[in-house]
Amino acid sequence: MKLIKYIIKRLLWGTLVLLFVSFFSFLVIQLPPGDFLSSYIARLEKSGMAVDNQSMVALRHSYGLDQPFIVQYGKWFYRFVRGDMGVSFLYTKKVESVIVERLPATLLLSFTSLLVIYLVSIPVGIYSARRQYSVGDFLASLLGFMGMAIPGFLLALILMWIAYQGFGISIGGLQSPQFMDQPMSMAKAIDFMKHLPVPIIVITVAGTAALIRTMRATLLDELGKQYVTTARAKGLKESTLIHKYPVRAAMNPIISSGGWLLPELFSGETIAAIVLGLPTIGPLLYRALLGEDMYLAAGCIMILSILTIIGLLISDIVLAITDPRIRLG
Amino acid sequence: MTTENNLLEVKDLKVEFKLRQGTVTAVNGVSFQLKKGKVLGVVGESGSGKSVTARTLLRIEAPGIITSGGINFFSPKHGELAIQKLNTTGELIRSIRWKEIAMIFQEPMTSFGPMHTFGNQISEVLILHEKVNKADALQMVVESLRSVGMPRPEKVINQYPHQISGGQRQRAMIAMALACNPEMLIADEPTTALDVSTEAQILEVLAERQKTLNTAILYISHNLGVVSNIADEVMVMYLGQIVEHAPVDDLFRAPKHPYTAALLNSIPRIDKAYEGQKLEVLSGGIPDPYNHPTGCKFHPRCPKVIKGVCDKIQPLQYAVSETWSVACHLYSTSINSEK
Amino acid sequence: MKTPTFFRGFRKPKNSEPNKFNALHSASQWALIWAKFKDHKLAIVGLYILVIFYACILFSPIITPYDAWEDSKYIYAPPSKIRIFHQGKLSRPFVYKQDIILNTETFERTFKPDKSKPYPVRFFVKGAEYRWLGLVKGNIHLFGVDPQTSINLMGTDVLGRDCFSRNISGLQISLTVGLLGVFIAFILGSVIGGIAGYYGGIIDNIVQRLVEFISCIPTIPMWMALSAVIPQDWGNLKVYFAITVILALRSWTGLSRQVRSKLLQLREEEYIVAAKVCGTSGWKIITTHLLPGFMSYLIVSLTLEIPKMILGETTLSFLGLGLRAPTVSLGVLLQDAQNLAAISAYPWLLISALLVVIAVLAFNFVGDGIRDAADPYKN
Repeated sequence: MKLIKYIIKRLLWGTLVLLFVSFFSFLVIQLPPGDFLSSYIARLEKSGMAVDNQSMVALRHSYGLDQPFIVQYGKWFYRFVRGDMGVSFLYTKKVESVIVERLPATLLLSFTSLLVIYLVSIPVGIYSARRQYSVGDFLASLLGFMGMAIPGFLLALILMWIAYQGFGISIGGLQSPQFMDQPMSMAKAIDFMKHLPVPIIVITVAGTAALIRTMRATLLDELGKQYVTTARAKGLKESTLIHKYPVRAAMNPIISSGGWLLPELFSGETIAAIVLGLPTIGPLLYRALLGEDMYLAAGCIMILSILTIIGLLISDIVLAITDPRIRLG
Repeated sequence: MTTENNLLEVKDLKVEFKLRQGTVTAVNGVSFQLKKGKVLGVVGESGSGKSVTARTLLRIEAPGIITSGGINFFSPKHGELAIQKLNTTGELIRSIRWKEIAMIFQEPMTSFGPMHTFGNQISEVLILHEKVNKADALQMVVESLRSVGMPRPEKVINQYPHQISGGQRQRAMIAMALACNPEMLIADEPTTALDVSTEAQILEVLAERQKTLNTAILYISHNLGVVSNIADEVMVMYLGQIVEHAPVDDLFRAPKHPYTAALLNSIPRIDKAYEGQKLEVLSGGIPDPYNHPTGCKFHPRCPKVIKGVCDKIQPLQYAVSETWSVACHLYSTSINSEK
Repeated sequence: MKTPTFFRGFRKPKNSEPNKFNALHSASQWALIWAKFKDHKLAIVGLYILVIFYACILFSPIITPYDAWEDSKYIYAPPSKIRIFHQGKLSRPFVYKQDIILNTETFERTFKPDKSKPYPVRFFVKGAEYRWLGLVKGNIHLFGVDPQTSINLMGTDVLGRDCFSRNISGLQISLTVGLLGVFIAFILGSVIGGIAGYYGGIIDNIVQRLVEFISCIPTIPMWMALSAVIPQDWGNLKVYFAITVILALRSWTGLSRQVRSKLLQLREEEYIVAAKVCGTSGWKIITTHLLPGFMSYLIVSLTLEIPKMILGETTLSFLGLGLRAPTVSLGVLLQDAQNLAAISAYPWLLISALLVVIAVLAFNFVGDGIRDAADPYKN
C-alpha cells in the first residue's frame, strides 16, 4: 500500500525533525555567556542564600555541567523522552508540570484559531477569485494587506483598548479575576467566551490574510485551466462545476499550507499571549528567556515545535488521502 | 449551396477580445455551413481564429465577445436556435452543450480534472443529460470506453488522469464526447499533442465512430495532412477570416488561394515527381494581432500580390464553383476582365 | 497569441558581440517590467513612500530639528500646532511657546500656549551639531524655531525628547535592518539554494531537509530564543548586526527553496542543456544563463521578505529582546507604548507604529507590483 508507506515515511521524517529541534533547543540552553547555573547561583546569593563551594560543585555535577556538550545533550534528550524536562528556577517546579498546566489553553486557542482561519479564508478566497477586481475582492485584498502589515502586538494593544473602552471587558487573560478559582458554570463559560474574540483575532489575522491570498491565487490559476473549460462545455452549471473541479484542486495548497501556517500560528499566539497575558506556553517562553530559565525555555521551544510537527504530519496525511496523485503515486 | 440538411449555419461571425493593449479581432466575418453527418475541416496557423470560432459555437468564447453575426443551430429537440443570442450560463445553452454539440480538446493532459476518476467525470454527462442513475451511467461509460478501443475499461473508470497515457486519455475524451450521442462534435486539434502513431490510432477511432453514429464533425487542425484523411470539405483560415472553402479533393488537387497553395507546398513530399525540388517556405510571420494589414490580410506575404489592389481593397468571397469559394482578388471577375 | 517556440528559445551565438546583445536583451526585459509596473497604482504609491522614507534616512540629521537623545523640560508634550493666524491676522507659519502648568494636587502636567508672542518656523536654522553620514560636520537643520521654545511635530516622550527626531532616527535603524537582513538572506539563500538546485541529488536532499527542519520551529519563538542569547554587554552596533543575522537565519530558507525549484525547472530547459553540451563551466552556466532567468522571481521574494524582517525587528525590540536603548529603532520607541494607560494618555507615541505599518504596506505594494509586472505569462 503506497499510502501506508507514505505515512510511515512521514512519521520517520517527523522523528528526524524532532531530533534536530531538540538539538537546537539544547543549543539555546548552552549558548548564553556563562552557564545558567552561575546566574542561578548569583540569584540565590542576591536573595541572601549562601552557596558554598562544595554544594556548587555538587550542583554542577548533578546537572552534568562538567561533562562535554554532546554527553550533556544526550542525557538531556534521554530524560526529555522519558518526560523529565528538568527544573524551572523561576517557578521552582518541574518544567513539565509548568508546561502541562498551560497546555490546554494553548491547544484550545491554537485549534480554534486554525478553524477560524480556514472558515474565513476559504470562502473569502473563492469569492475573491470568482469576482476578480470586484469591490469585494478589492476590500478583501485591502484587509489582507492590512493584516500582513500590522504587527501582532500593536493589534493586540489596539483591540484591548477598544474592548476596554467600548465593551468594558477587563484587559488580558482568558477569564475575569472573580472566576479564577471557581468551578465551571454558565457565567464562567460566558465570561470565557467574551474573552476569546480579541486573542483569536490577533492570532488569526496574519494567517487569514496570507491564506486568502493563497486561495485566491491558486483558484485563479486553476480557473484558467483546460479542464474547467471542458466542464463548462459539458453543460454543467457554473457554480456546480467550479465547486467540483477548480475549488477541489485549489484545496491542495490550502491543506498543505499547514507547513507554514502552523509555525505562523504559534508565532502569532506567542505575541498575542504575551501582550494579552494569556495562560499559554508563549509567555512562559518569554519569561524563561528574560529570566535565563534555560530548562524551561528549552522545554517550551520543544513543545511548540512538537505541536507544529504533529500538525504538519496531520496535514501531510490528509493531503495524501485527498489527492489521488499522492495517494496512488 | 443548398440549405437543406444543414445542422449549423454561421453567418458573418465576428468575435473580439478587448485587452488592455488593444482590441484583437480573433474571428472576423466568418460564414460557413455544416451538414448533418459530414466532416468539415478547418485549417490554419495558430492565431488564425479557428479555436475561437469553435468555442463560440458552444458559447464558451469568454473573455471574447460576439460583436456581430449569427450562429443558427438546428436542434432536433429545440428546433432552430440563434446560438449567439443565448445567455452563456443559461439553461438552454447548457442543455445544448455536450448533449447536442460535444467537444474534444487539444490537451489530453489537462482536459480532465486531476482529482476525479474517469468514471466520475464521464458518467457526469450521462447523469446530467440522459437522466440516468449513477450505476447505469457507469455501465454506459464502460461500454462507451470499450467502443473507442480502451483496454480494460472496467479498470479505467476507477483510475485518475495521471495514471494513464496521453493517447488513452484522448480515447477517454472521445468516449466522453460521444457518450450522449451528440448531433455534432467539435474536435479542436485532438491529435496535436500526441505522437504520430497514436495520432493515427485516435484518428481511426474518431473516423470509425463518426461513421457508426453519423455525427457531424467540425475538425480543427493546423495539419493539412490530418484533415485530408477525415474531412469532406475543408476551409482554410488566415487571421480570423476564411480564405478558401472547398471539397477536400478539389482543394488538394488545385488550391486556388496563394496561402493555401503555400501551405500545401510546405508539406514535404516523397513522390517521384518532387525529387530534387526544394521545399517552399512561406516568407514572413503572422502579423501583429493588434494591427492587421489593410486590404487582403495576406498581401504582405503573398507571392502573387497585386500592388494598389491587394493592399487597399479587402477581397470578397468569390465563387469558383458551386461548392468552392476563394477570398482572393485573383479570382475576382472584375479585376480579371480589366487585365 | 503565441510566438513560435523557436523564436522564444532562440539565442544569438556567443561570439558575435555578446555584451551588446545581452545589454539589449536585458534592457528590453526590464523596460517591459517597468512599463507594466507603472500600471499598478498601489505599487507606485508604495514606491513613492519608500523613496521618501529612505530620503529621510539619508538626510536624517538635517531633516530633524533636534538630537534624538537630547532631553528637554517639555515632558510628554503633545505634537506642536503649527499656526498661521496670530491675533486674527494671517502670518507666516509659527508656534506658540508652551507654558507648563503643574497641578499641585494631582501632579498632572498640562500645556497651555502663550498666545502673546508667535515664534515663526524658520528654515535652515543652526542647531545641534551632527556628523552627516559620520563624515560631514554640520549644524544646519531643515527647520526649527528659536531656542526659547521648541517645535515637536510628533510630541515628546518621557524625557522630553523630540519624537519626530527620534522616529526619523528609528526609521534609519528599522528600515536598514530589513535591507541588511535581506542582503544576508539573499546571499545564504541563493548560494545554498543554488547549489542544491544546480547539483540536485544528495546535496539537494540534505539542504531540503535542513530547510524543512528550520521551518518547523515557529518563527517568533525561534527569534526570541536566539536573541535572548545575545550577551548583555555587547555594544549597539554588535547587537544590531546580531539581530540582523538572526532575522536572516529564518528568511533564507524560503528564498533558497524558491531559487532551488526555479533552478530545477530551468536546468531542464533546452538552452541550458545546450550550454552544457558545449562544455560551458558550471559556474558560468549559473551566472550567465540561470541567474538572469530567475532574477525577477528573486527580486519579488526579496521585496516581500523585507517587511517581514521589519516587523520581526519591531516585535523583538518591543518585547525587549531585540535592539536596546540607547539604540533608537521604531520597535525600541514602541516600548514606551506598552500599556493602555500610556497609549490613552499619550497617543502620539503610537506614531512609531504607524510608520512601521506604512513602511511594511509600501514594501508589500511594491513587491506585489513587481510580481505582477515580472510575470510574462499574465495579461
